[in-house]
Order: sequence, then C-alpha cells, then structure tokens
Amino acid sequence: MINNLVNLSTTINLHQSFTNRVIEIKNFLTQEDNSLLIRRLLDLCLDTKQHQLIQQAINISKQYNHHHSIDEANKQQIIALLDKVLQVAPTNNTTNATPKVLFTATEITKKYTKGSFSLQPLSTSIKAGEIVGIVGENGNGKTTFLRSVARELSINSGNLQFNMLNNPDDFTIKHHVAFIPQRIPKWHGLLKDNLHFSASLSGIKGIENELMVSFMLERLNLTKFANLTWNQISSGYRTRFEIARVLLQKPQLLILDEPLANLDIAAQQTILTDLQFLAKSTYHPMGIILSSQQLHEVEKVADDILFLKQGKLLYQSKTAVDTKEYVVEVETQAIKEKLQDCFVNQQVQISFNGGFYTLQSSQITHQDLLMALINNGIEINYFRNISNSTKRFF
Amino acid sequence: MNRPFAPNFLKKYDDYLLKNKPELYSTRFHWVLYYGLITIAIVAALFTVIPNDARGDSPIFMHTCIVVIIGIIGLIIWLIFLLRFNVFKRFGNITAIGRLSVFWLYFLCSVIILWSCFVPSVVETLRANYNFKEQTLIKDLNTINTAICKLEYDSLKQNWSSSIYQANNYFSAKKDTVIEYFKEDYTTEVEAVTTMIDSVESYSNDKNYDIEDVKINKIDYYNLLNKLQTEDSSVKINDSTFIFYNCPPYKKVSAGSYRDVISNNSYTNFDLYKIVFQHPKPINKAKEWQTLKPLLEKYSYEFGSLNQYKTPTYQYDDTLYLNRLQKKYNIYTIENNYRNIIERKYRFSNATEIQVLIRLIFYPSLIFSLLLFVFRHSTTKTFFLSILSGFLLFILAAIITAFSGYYDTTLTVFSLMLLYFLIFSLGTIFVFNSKTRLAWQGISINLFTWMVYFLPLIATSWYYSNIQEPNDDKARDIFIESRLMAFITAEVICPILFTILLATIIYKMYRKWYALPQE
Repeated sequence: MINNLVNLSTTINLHQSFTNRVIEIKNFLTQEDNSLLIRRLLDLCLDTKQHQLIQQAINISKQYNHHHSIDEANKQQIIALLDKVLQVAPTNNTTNATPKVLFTATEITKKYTKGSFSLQPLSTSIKAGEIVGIVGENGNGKTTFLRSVARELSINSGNLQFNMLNNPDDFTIKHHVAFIPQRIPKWHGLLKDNLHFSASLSGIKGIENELMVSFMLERLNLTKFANLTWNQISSGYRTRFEIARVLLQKPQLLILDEPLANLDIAAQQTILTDLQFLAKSTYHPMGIILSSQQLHEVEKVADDILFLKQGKLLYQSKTAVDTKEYVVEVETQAIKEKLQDCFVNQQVQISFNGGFYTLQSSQITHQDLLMALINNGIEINYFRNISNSTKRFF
Repeated sequence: MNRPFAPNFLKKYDDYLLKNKPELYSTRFHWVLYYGLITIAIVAALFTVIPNDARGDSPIFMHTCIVVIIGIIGLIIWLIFLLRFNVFKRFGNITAIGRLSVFWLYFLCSVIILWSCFVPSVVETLRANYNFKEQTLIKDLNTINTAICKLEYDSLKQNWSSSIYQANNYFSAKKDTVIEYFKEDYTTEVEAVTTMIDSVESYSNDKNYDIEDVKINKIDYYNLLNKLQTEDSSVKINDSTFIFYNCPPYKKVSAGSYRDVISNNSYTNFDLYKIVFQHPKPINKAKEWQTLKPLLEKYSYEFGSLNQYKTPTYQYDDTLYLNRLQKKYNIYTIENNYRNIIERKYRFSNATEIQVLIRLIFYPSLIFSLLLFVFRHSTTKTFFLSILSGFLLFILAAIITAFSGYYDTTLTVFSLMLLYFLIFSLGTIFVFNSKTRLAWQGISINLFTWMVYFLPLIATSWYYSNIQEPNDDKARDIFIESRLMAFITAEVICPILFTILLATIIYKMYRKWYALPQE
C-alpha cells in the first residue's frame, strides 16, 4: 500500500531531490520532450504518495496520449501540478543511511540431473535501486541463474540470502521476488482485470487499486489496450503488460529473462529507461536483474554487468580490474590489410567478427584508433568504443 | 467482460470483489449463484408449463437428463471461463478466512450446479401436490374400494384365513431386554408378554409341527408379539400359542407402497369388512355406479386419453374372476395412476429419502470441491498423477482384499484405507524438510487432503467392522441404532475436522510444497 512502503532509499536530501526533478520536468516541457515529460511527471507524482496528485498526473497523461501533443492549457496544468508537488514534497532532509542489500548469492552452483550443463560457483549481490544485467551467449547459464535466484530452480550448493526479508519461506520469497520468464504464460480474461487482480492480491485494495492500475497503464502507455485480451495484443505488449502486472505486486526484486527479446528498438529503449526510473523510485525502490542479448542497451542502464560463459562468471563489471585495454568495434567496407596498414609498427590486434572489425590495443586509446583510421582515408560506417563493454568477450 | 443478462449491481459487486477480495473473486461464486438461480428459475418455469400429468408415467428421467446436460455445460463454463484467477498460485496474500471460504465456496458452487439437476423432480412434486390433495386422494380411494365392494358384494364375500403361531424360546436369554422394549412401546401388553416368555421356556423345539392336521408355525416371541399388533384378529390358545385371522382381500385398489400416507390412511381390508360385509345393507347399484364412474374416469388417465374411461388394452385371461374384475374397473390403470401420483407427491416427504437426497447432493459436491481445491493448489502434473495413484492403490487394495483369505472383506478394506492414510501422512511430513518440489510429496499431500475429510467415517467403519452384530433381534436393533448414530456423528465431525485442518495444516503443506524450487 502506498502509505506502508518499506523505505530502501539512499541518503539524499529529499526536498532537494523533488526540486531537481521538478526542474528536470520543466526543462522537458521547454524542450517539448513530451513523452519523457509525462513519464517523469507520473513518477514524481507517485513519489509524493498523494492520491490526488497521482490522479491529476494520470489525467494529464491521458490527455497527452489522446491528442499526442501538449497544448498551452496542458502546460499550465503541468506547471500547477509541479507547484503542488513542491508544496507537498517532504521537508525532512535524509532517509535511510545506505541502500539496503536486497539479495546476496554466495558461491551458488547448479547442475541439472539430465544433461551436462552446470552453473559454476557464482557470487553477486544487488541493492535497492540497482539494475544488474546478465549477458552471455545462448545456453551459457543466464536463465538458469535467474531461475535459481527466483527460487524456481533449486541450487546444488552455495547460499541465497534475501536480506530484504526476515526468515522468509519460499512462498514469501516468491511473493516479493517477481520473475518474468522469456515465454510469458497466457493471461485469461481482460488484461485490465488481471492487473486489478494482481494489485489486489498484493494488498492494494479499493480506490487505491483503481488508482494504481490506472497509473501503471498510463506509465507503461498501455491504457488503450486495457480492455483487450491476451490474444489481441502483440508479444511486445504482452511483455509490457507482464511488467505492469508484476510491478503492481510491488516486488522488492524484479527478475526479467530476456525482456527485450520481443520489443522493437524504440520500445527497448523506453522499457530500459522506465526500468531504470522505476528501480530508483523513491516510492518503491527495487532491485532489477535482467538478462539480454542487447549488450549495449543493457550496459547503458545497468549498475553491474555479469558475463556468463559456459556456466562460469567470466566478468563482472563491479569487481573487474581495469586492464587498460582499448577495444573498438568498427564497421567498414575496407579490407583487413588496409586496416592493418593504418597501424604499422603499432601493437593493434585486428579481428573480424560478424561484419565488424574489432581493434584491440593496450597502447593506443580508442580516440587515437579512430583518428588513425580517418587519417588513412578509411570510410567508417559505424564505430563504438567497447573497452568497457562485455561485447569484447564475444 | 460482457456477461449476458448480468445486472449492473452484480457487475459492480464483481468489480468490488476483484479490487478488494481477490480470494472470493477467484471462486466466482457470485456468478455461479446468479446464473445458477436464473437457470433454476428458467428450468422450473419450463417444467411447470410442459404438459406432465401427475397420473401418467413420470418423464422425470428424460427431464433430469436434459437438465444434467445444462448443468455440465454450466460446470464447464465455471471451470474454464471463470476459474482463471488463482491467488495461491500467484503467491498472493491469503487470509485465514480466505483459505476456508475458497474451499467452501467451491462446494456451494458445486451444490448450486448439482441442485439444478433436481429442479424437474421438485417441480413435478409441487405440481402433483397442487393438483391432487392428500385428503381427496384418500377419500377417492376409499370411495372406489367401498363402491367396488358393494357392487361386487356377492362375489367378494369370503371366509377369513387363519394360521396358528407358537413362540419358541430361541431368544429367551434376552427376556429382560424384550420386556423392557415392550414396556416402552406396548405398555398394555407387558403382563401378557412376561407370561408368554415364561411359558415358552418349556419349549425347546423351534421347528414347525402339525397337531391333528393343524399346522403350528414356530416363531420367536419377538415376532409373535409383533404379529399381535398387526394382524386383523387373534385368539389366544395358551400363553405362547395364538390363532391369527386375516381378513379377505376386499381392497381391490391399492394406492402404492406400504410406506406412503395414502395407503396408511385409506381403508384396509378389515375397514371394508366392517363397512360393507359385517352388517350388509341393501344397495342401489345404479347409484353406486354413478358415484364410482367419475372417479374411475378421473384415475383412468392414460397418455393421450385424458379423462377418458375406456376399455383397457391389456390382455386379460377372462376365465379368472379377479382378471374380469380388473378389466371391469380398469384397476390396473387406476392403481398405476395412483402410484404415479404418490411417487410424485411424496418424493421428498420421507425423512430417509430426504437424507438420501441431501447426501446425493452433498457428497458429489464435496468430492468435486476436493478435486477442484487440490487442482488449484497443486501442479497439473501432480494432480493427474495423484488421481492415477489413487486408482492404482484402489486396485492394489482390491487385490489384497481378494487374496487375503480373511472372511471379513470390510475390515480388510478399511484397515488398508487407514494404512494408506498413514503412509500419505508420513509422506506429507517430509515436505517440511524438503529442499525441492518433488512429485511424490505432492501426490502424498493431494491424497492426504482427499482422504482426511473422510477419516472419521473410515475410522468409524473400521471400528464397526471389528464388532460382530448381535444375533438377538432386539440387541441387533440397538446395535444398528448405535452404529447409525456413530456414523451420523462421524458425518458431522468430518466437515468440522476438515475445516480446522484446511485452515492450518493443509494450507501450510500446500504453501510449503508449491513454493519449493524444482529439481
């Protein structure tokens, strides 16, 4: 329930935070970045925990989604709403001292009774507001790890500790840990009814239930599909509805297996940004673990990245030692020899992998690598610095 | 969701439950109740207007079959289209009240659906009660029988039959018990009974024998005393020997079985003897026939020939007087129609029949609710494996019983059931220490849940299987009564015990097992 939330926020000046967010939204308004404006406005109003303000934000969002534009009257409404938000923003300066560790996995292993695959000892932890990305090729243990964390699968050794709960049994863990599998089970009945039901079984009752479902539908831009059934929406929207459903259950830890698989590029960006905002919500901060093949997109939002190869944790961004290796990815029509000519007498390894050249050096920075290519007249279609990306392991 | 004929208030209530009471919402009881009542009302209205004369043969089997099909469709709709939301499998918050209400609402839903199947029978009974009043039926039957006796006076006047019965001392050891019994029920007979019992001590022979071509029937004094209460007339030869006289069968039209109100309250052969034959008076046959004919027409209904008194189509052997009588007054049809009316009228009047009806609705609804409850708290695979295991254990029990060589199969069966229950109980204990969700543990929980409801009944059956019935009639009656009371008590304990277990151990077992990670 809105007024009975577990506070897992970081040390921040709350009033200042609200003020900054109001300024941020006003900037969006000026820049006419309307989509982001509406989403951030909804988030801000939710964090006030004021039903009236949340309802106003929902109404503004509905108007925007109906007209796909914000007119002068809407702008005035938004400014008035922002002023109200500042009036009700908490005046106390700090919240809890440090972000709470939600979950810790210590040396967990998993071996299936059938088949040869096994997950090698793996340790990690996640705090409230953090996003952990799990990456790796297919069949390397991403789903096994996620299912183990979600208590879908038993582990052979190691320890899983859900610090957010006191002596929880598996039922309690599964109530607070939401797992969205890659293949989402079919929903029955109206999509909206399913959302109301999910909210209700998590203790969000009555008017609050109505409000929170409306909020979630608007927040994920799903209102126009609310009265449809599962078979009437695309797989991308199914993912979004499933996210809306689990978010209404207010999980402390959200685990998503390949959530971007069914989404178009724009939707991927939107979902990732939304997940980032939702994870760091003042209202209900949570930890998110997600697996994906969209390395760059995930790396942009994740606080920690785990790279799994053949069941082993090959790389973890949090604990990784800086190797001072510069690695860039280049797409060009030029042949390999021509690229090598750009780096005569210089230690640059060039490899070709799936339409891209990967240039690797411990002496030349990524900017110098780019400059060298340009100076030698190499026509570059695409360039990316992957020095800190797990992409270099592929 | 558009639901046909759903009123606004119910839609609002549905919405309220969805957003406030997810456990109650998930049972969809409100929809089953609403559509169930509508169906019952429509079915009742339909079978009220459909021609169905109470005198004719009852089409109730066909009517019930039609409603059963409707009930099955309703059941399928409930199971497939309504039971889509499951709080337990979503790991939602479930209150103690919620745990109980879910199961008992499943039960009530099943009762509503099953009850609709009995609506045609109820409507038929109400129609029969409305069209044929009890007093009219008794009066008509008496008038018919009296009129036939008067019209056939010359042919029906016969001698009374007689037979001699003598009490043996087979059960004399229980004399005190029998005296006590007769003291309660037949206070006026106590002295005679005591004398009789004392006198039969001298007889040891319990076989029938003849004295000067008169057959003496030997029966125990318990039955002899009962005969004294029921026979038309008796003459005491000595304290243990009586001649019993039976009136000739003057009653030509009988209403039905011996249990029904009409038969019990209409004239007996002896009554007809007293009215017509004991002090005969001259009669006006034409007038009697005028009295009888409308009644014969009234009760000579045959399908397609309403109220038409016609010559019966049955082939009678006219050489026999009784057959000629049957044909003349169409007695076969009249009796048949009376039986049809009585069958309809008193279908739900007898306490035993009502108990049977209640059990007929209660137990199938209960079993269905148990199946549904287990299905909704278990995995699909485990649920069907549990049913399979149940069948296999049933076959195993049958084989063990067949080859056990023990004379009392009932005891073997109930001993095995208790053994099974013990095994399932042990299986469920392992769940609490389990690290993974194992199918065999789920099967144990499911079978435990199915059996635990019936545990008091199984235990009672097992207990009484160990006790031999007394041979003495009276002692046996007392034993049967005490056994019946024990079973009724067990039947009452069953739902109470199950409800307590449901709120505590059963829910905890499922909660623990279902949430466990898989292998």
